[in-house]
Amino acid sequence: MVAGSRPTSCRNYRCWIERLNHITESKTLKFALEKTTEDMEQQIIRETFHLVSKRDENVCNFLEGGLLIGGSDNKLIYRHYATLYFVFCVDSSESELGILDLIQVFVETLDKCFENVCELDLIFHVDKVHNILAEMVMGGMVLETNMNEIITQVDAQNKMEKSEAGIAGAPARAVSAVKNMNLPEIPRNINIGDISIKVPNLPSFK
Amino acid sequence: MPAVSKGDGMRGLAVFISDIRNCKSKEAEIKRINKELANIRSKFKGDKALDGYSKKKYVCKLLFIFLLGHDIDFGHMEAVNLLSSNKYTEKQIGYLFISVLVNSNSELIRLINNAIKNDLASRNPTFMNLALHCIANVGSREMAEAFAADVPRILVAGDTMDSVKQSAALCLLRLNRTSPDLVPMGEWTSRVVHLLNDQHLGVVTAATSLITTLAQKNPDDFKTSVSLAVARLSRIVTSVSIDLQDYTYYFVPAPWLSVKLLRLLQCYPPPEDAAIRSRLTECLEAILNKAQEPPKSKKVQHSNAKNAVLFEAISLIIHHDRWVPHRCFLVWSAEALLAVARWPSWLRSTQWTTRGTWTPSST
Repeated sequence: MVAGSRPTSCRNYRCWIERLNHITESKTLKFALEKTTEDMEQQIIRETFHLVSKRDENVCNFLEGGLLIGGSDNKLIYRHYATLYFVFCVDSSESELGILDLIQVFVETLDKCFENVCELDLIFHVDKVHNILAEMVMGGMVLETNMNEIITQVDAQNKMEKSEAGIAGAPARAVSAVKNMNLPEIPRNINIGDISIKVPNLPSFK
Repeated sequence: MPAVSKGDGMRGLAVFISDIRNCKSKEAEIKRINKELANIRSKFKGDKALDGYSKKKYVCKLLFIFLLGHDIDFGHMEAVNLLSSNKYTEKQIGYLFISVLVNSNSELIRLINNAIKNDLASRNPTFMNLALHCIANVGSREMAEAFAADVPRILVAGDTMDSVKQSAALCLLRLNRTSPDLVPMGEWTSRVVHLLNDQHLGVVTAATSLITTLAQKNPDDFKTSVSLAVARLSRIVTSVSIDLQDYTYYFVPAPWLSVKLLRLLQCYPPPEDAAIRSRLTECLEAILNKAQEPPKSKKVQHSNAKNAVLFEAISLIIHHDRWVPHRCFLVWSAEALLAVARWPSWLRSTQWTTRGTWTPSST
């Protein structure tokens, strides 16, 4: 999976962010790369996947980039969480250990925002994940590292989304309201005794 | 409470994604995708004008298909239409699509630039942030031509909100990298230096990144940043009374900002003013001493952050050594590095859980 920016005139790479599933697929979240075509982006994903998935668990998290991503000028920094790798490719404009911790902040933020986040959350809410990432990284540089700030911004965005949902959001909200409602036990048999109602004889209409 | 509610959102998108995941083979997946592409094409071409929600849903589906690795050759016009909506969610999806699938169609670029111009002028901080993000992430020459004069103005205006200032700083940095000839140096440069004194540490971080890059090309314009950077670094590193609660990361105060300030100082020779020089020496001593103390936390994040600041401080010491040899500092640096190597946790640089999910480790 690739998200990328199309070619511009500059040759310098900045930073791109990738999330790899260790079995088959690879999902790239964001490229702030320049001078790439789509084929190149796919190749970069494949090359990264090969480089990172071969790594042992007890080696360090820093890799030199392959030829496609600028060779030894750029480094791949990754962290491995259960079945997923988060890979950042950086040049020298950001501190490498800082990026390692940024991955941690990103993951912790996702965990706070999605509550016990799992891979399915990332698949079904691609736009929300992008928004969270957009609060942290911009134009290939670190924008915000304070988790509380990021979550405040995400909360504000969700509030706006809810208020815009308006009528269209009413059924969903009604359903969740009913689910949360505490209904008392309704008695099954209602016995109101014998009632006889005399039906008057109405004349037929002519 | 989770910040992202799983109940709301585009139901059609969730159903589509479930279908894709349930496909048993690659061919089935391609078939399902083609079916959806045909559906979306017909809806876009149809006579009935689509409402905002449907447009948003279909554009989001296209984005998902693109992220799966398939080529998308339509939908840009509808995404650009979403940009001019007043609703935040629709705008957001429009900008996301544009940032990810940049198109070199000049007609569309004109429309996109118009939408961005409107959002930048809108005074709504959320819309301004979306627009600045788009400019920073795309960073094309046409955008630089259109906005290189506006972004510095937004950055130094007195009534700009903190979050917009942060975005504007990094946006300007990106424009400067891709089209340095189009970003005019002006009176805003002195106002940018004063951002180092801002109360909001996020603004200071972004401003430091910007100044570091600009100072490499025009060091004289940003000379005054040295004293402000030293003052700020000293407040972070040495004074314990300042409450950096939110920016303290695993017991290390503002590590990313400290590293950036140290990098900025590496653009210049040691400060000539004796007071500033002694304050800087104090900071460096404090950092080196902290490295020799036992770690406050067993977590690897604490040692990573502490070491990031330490390594950058040592780089600065080595840089200054060229002008003013300072044997003591070099010896202390070596001792600090040995101390770091002594604590075993720094060698382990990954942690994961065995729960089957990849939430951060709690050990």
